[in-house]
Amino acid sequence: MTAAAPPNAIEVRNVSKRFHVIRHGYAGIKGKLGALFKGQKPEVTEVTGLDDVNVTIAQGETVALIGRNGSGKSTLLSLVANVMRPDAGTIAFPASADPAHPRIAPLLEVGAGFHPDLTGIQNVFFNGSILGLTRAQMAERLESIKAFADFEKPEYYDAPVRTYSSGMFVRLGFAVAVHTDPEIILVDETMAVGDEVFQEKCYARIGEFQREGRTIVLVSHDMDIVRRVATRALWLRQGRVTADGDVEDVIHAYHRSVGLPD
Amino acid sequence: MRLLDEVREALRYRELFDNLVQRELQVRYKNSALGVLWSLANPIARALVLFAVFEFIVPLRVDSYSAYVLAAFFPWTYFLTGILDAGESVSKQMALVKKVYFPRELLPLATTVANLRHFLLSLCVLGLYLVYLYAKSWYIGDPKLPPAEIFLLPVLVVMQTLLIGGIALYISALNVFFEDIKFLVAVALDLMFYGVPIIYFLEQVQQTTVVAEPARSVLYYLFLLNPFAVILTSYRAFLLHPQQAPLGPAAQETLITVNQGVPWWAFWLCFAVCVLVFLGGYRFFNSRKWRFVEQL
Repeated sequence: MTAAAPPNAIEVRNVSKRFHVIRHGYAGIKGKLGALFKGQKPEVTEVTGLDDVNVTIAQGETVALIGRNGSGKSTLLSLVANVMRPDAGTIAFPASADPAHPRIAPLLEVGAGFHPDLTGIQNVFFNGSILGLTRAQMAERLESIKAFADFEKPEYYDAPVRTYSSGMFVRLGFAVAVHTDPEIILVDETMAVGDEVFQEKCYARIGEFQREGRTIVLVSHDMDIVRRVATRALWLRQGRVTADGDVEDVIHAYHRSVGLPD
Repeated sequence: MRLLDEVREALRYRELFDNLVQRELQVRYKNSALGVLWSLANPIARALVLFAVFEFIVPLRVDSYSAYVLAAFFPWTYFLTGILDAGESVSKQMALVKKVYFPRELLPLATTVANLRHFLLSLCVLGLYLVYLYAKSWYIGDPKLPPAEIFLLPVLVVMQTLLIGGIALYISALNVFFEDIKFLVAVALDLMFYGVPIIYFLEQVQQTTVVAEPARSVLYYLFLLNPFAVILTSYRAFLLHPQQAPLGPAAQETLITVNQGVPWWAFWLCFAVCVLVFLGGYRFFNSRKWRFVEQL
């Protein structure tokens, strides 16, 4: 035996996930009534989200999930974020300080988690508490969060979020997420929004996270982003891991299969 | 036990729960100059209007009728807003629910608690009115204190909150899957307003001359088995005294004593029902909460 390997950040074991999609007919009461009176049952088909997926991600890795739409990338991310539960298999976080409650920070999509009628600052505190921070902890970090979001017009921090541009939305959301001291960071196509200066700042911050040994999982269709930040890539096709390993190799295999030039 | 684990997990998110309640209150009066004062302005306006209507426009032969109506109407508003708001509490937050983990039951429960705070403010308004009424009774030489049952008021508020929270858990979970639920509930509550003693007294049902026995007793027991009716009647009976009031058509009217409250067995049965509805709602919600994000 070699020296004891450090515990893994994420262990996905034999995970399967299926979804029920209503093909036609109505769900809900209308469907039930339809079934009762007309004998029309809504036609439900089962769609495979993930099929017996096994992935082990070591602490400090930055793993990019790539693949076509509907290949299961976001499903896998949702399962890691614990917003869904697998039908079969387990997901564990052995490297976390508290494996039952890993500190996971999803970088939210535009709009998610922000209430349009509350001000930027109010939303910052609210978002912080979703990610598990207390008010006092957020107050401590507020200046640093503002500095990171770096709005051109500081009066916007106290303006309702509905007046924000989509770039400002993402900047503030990203700023909160990176200040929550996460063990695992999940990125789902957020980075493309925001101007170049901000994007550079995000890359810099991700680099910092990588040096600090935090684990990052990202989903992206932008291979430039994948090449720039990922240390490993995972290609999903129809809910199965088709290739896993070196970023260039996996991108190459993926592109060849869908008939794209590299 | 599974249920206890769920509760323990939810308790880890107390800070988020407080923030959800806070946010609910902030959002309600967003951009308004008076802010949360509107929570007081609304019941005050309601109290003044009802007072004016029953004192000057349609004087009924029940003393301080507006107080009796308000004592049931404010709790009714708590039922109404509590249940309607909570119905959408999860579906409105799907963007968040899809991305971040947190115990989902916090959403309907936070809405319930936010509405509880509004209700407590309206109870304060009612309290002022009662102070005026009881002060007046001393002034005119017929000194009265509120009924001793007023000390049971906290129990009543707790059981009403449990009932609202339980219903909120049921319908907020159902509404994710069937959007019809919120419309159905709105219609049901609209009709329910007339089915519970707010603008009339329970004794008028019990002693009505329109319905013959045994249908009259059946009707009366149906009221006693309806937790909404029991709770509203109890608010009234805990805050205000019974009094004599005429019943029936002018030719053959009789005096009956109204506002005697419900029998104690009905009160404690209602309490048990409220606890069971809450526990049932909690279980129901938790058995479905993992499927919320799978809705396409």
